[in-house]
Amino acid sequence: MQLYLPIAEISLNIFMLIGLGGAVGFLSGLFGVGGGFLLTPMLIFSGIPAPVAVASVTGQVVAASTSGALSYWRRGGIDLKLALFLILSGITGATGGVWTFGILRAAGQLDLVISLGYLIFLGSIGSLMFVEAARSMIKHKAGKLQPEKLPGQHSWVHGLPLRVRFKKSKLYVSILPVIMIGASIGFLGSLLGIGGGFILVPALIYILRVPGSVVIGTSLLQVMAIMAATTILHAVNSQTVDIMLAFTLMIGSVIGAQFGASAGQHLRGEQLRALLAIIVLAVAIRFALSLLLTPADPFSMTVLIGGAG
Amino acid sequence: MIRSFVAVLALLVSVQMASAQRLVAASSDPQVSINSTFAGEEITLFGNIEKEFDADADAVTNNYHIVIAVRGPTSKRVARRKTNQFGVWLNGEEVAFNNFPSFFHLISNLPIEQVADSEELSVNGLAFDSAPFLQPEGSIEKVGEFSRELIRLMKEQDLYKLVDHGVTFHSNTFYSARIDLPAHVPNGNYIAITHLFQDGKLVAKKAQRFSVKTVGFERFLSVSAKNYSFYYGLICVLLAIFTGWLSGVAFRR
Repeated sequence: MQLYLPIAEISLNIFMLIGLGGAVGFLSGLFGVGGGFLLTPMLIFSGIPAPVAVASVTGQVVAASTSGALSYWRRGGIDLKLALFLILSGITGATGGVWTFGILRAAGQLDLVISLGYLIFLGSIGSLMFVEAARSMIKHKAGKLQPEKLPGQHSWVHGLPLRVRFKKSKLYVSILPVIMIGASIGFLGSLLGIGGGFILVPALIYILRVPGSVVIGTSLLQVMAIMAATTILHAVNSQTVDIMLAFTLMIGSVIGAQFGASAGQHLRGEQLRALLAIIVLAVAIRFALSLLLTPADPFSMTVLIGGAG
Repeated sequence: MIRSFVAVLALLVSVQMASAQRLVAASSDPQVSINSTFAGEEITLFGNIEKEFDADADAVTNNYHIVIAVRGPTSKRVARRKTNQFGVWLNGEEVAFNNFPSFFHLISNLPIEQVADSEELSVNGLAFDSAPFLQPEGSIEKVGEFSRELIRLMKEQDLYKLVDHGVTFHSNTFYSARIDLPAHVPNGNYIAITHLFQDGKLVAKKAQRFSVKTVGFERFLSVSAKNYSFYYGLICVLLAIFTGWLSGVAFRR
């Protein structure tokens, strides 16, 4: 059954869209990540214009992170004050991201920047995850006890001025790195159509030393709020949010996530991480190929005025 | 799908040429509606070649050929070429075309080159690269190549198409033609100009208009996205939060 997407202005098979949302939702449930970084590329690869794919996936990410954020909220696993700082700076970053998005789109370089952005971020994060997972798998085989990584009490971050106390996280740190992290996640998220949880969580742990009990919940709340703001910013500025597309993907992904979460219980942590790293690297390689190989058709076209791009 | 033939041969106004024929034509669908299950549509145009009242009977004979030019709304369109810079392929060169038709089908009863010579066709706007449809901006030297590629891209999407045997003569003077609108047909006002050729010369033409419009819920959505973009975004967010909340409630163990 074909579904006409009013903003993308194309008809796609509704089952393919729900299936795509479901598959990505399954992976996001399996790995505990948002899934935007997989969904946006998949949509672009299946022919949806990049501006529509990026903006509509932001809507889907809101749905995907809401249920998680709510359950952490009930358990008290959110540092509200820290989240507030991250959200405010994130919205500033997202505004900049949406503005950049418009400029790049008019200049015809949006696809390039999206491909490059995915290549760099997925490539580096995928490699890091892969190395880390491989190491712990080797250690696991050798039967050694994995020493718990204790974050050092002080780093250069803790020497910065403008310190603020975050009671729930038991932190007393400068707000400068907090604002920097929030703003860069917001900027990247709105430009690339990703929630950014897979960048935010490591950043919170390794840079700010946020304790594990609140890090996931806080990052989910931040992702949800930033993506909600980004959806509205894209709707107003780029006018490329396709609500039909977003809704179809949401339905698929929330269902898929449930199956993914239960499947995840049968796999070990480092196996999961190695698997995720391979998927992330595969998407990065796909983008690398599109940038490096001679294109089958060097010509492309866009409507500048009088229709959607 | 071919809708029921309505108002057959109802229209009488025609553009008069210095000849003794005129065209009478009608179409099956003055308005094409795009809804959520739209997968393309077929419009039928039909008409009759009639002699002028004061012309003698021999003037209407045969050897008629019909070429129908169907054009959609125009927009500013950019053709871009990827070039290799620092090992990376990126959009390097571009040429913009103003008032470029977003849809252009040429439908004829014979391969179009057999109807008239290319100059006659081009003068009458029956070629994709006729002057009125190529209004480039900026660098002139690349226009030829970029316009050819742009037309090729449009053809690949079936938005530009030469339909060789799309017009059928049911008698010497009565014809019908099918216009295939693909699923991704752009919204807007369309014009279908029927050109009557006799012995390689244009002898009459007649324009008909129809419009393609998203209707119902889809139209509501695309209009809201443009005119009430803030509320559109807000509703999208609320829908997402609701979906997320619902799934959290429904699947909680």
